[in-house]
Amino acid sequence: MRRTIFHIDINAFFASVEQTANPSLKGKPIATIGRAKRTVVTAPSYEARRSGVKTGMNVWEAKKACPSLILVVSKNSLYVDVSKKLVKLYESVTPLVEVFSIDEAFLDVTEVLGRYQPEADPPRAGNSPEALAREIKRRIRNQFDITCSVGIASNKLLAKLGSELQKPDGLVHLRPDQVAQVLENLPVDELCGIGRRLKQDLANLGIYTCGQLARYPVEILKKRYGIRGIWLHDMANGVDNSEVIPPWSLPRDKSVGHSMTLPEDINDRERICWYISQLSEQVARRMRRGKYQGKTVSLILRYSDFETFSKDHTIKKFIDSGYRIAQVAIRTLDTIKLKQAIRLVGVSVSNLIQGTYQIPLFERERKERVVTETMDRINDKWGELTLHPAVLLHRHHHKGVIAPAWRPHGIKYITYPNN
Amino acid sequence: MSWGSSSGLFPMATRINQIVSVGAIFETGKIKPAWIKWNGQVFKIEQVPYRWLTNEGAAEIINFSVVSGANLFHLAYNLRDQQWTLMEVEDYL
Repeated sequence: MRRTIFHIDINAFFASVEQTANPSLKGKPIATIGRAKRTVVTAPSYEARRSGVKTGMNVWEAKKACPSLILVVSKNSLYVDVSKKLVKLYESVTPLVEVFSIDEAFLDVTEVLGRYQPEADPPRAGNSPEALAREIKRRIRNQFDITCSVGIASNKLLAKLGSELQKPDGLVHLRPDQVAQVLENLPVDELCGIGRRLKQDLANLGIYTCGQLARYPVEILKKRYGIRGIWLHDMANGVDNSEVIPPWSLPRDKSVGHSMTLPEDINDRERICWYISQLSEQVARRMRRGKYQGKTVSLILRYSDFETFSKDHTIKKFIDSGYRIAQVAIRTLDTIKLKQAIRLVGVSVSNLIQGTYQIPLFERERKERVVTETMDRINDKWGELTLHPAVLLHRHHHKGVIAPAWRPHGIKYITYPNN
Repeated sequence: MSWGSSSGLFPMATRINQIVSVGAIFETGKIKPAWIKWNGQVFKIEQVPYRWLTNEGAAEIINFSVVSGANLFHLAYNLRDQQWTLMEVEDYL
């Protein structure tokens, strides 16, 4: 059965939400930025984009491109609230909603088409996918005063491509007979999953467009990229059999991690250890919330020249305490001879099991468990890190940018404080 | 009176994070801030463009973006402590 998938992408999400919360910013070139010292533009409004302001520019570059640019410090808690309300709105249309990022979602509307009437109970929007998409767009505009682009197609890949084709406030239905024509001259990196490196690698084979990739012998692609070669061939032909996965049928998480860009580059071991301890506590809190334990700890480091690398260490026991995770990560740090100062530190735990817990055999471990559980209960009631290990007295009050992996459910759900 | 500065490279928001007195109307399940008393001045609230929920531990916080004259205030009402906090003030351009 052919499915009907929507990809909804909120236009310039952070900037649009800021313009809703502060109407004086409407129609003006604005850009959201982080609160950290070394911040970059996280989202420019469309007015700012027209002057050349782009995501990732530093503040000086952005102001140079658009001298009248208004900089707004991101309010992550506000964006999270709007995103959760948007997901509720989507779920009122269909239960098959996959949150792709804070401002993007896939909806499988196959089963609800023809049954959706906004005024009726339950709501109904006629038989055409376009009518339903227009209704969703209208509800988003009315409720949040923001616009979105909707792509409609028979699979997620093409639906996402459709929403990219018309911005802002777009609605594109990619029908099967249009797919080959749309893909023919499309640069390969417009496809979801093809990044800078793969693009360069494909260019070395003389492949620049999806049309060229579609015609390239699949056997050669398979030989060069393994199973990914088939995936590339399918994508270039507009084939994608992946389903829209709602939160209740998400596969188990493979890893839990946190990273932070430091306020300044450092090479002092003690300070790097503070950051590792802080990140380990954050990772451990989320693991315990999801009843996960893991035994592979990865330390991720980025040098000041942006060279990034990670080193793993697998231990015999499954752990979920910040102290234990930090111990393993710090031991890993001690095996690395740093070549340069560090600008980013990350800690991640993988090799996870969920829902099982072995009662500690030794008195010391039992006490450690009681302390951790008591601290969790206090922090659940009074807020994150109200009570924390003494090593975190020097902690960095990181006002991070919302990670692309953020989701409104499960352990990928991270709350952001007001200040 | 306006607070903060929108000129130059830096953002126009000024962080305050101070407990303030607020007059509010509780009506049909909604809270509508009417005035803020801050720094010896009373600011009449003319518009509430947006409200959103956050948590501080188990406490629910209702956040309001409110307009008063030339200023945009970010107010937070802690339902557990029944306290209003003025989080930020921005120039309302």
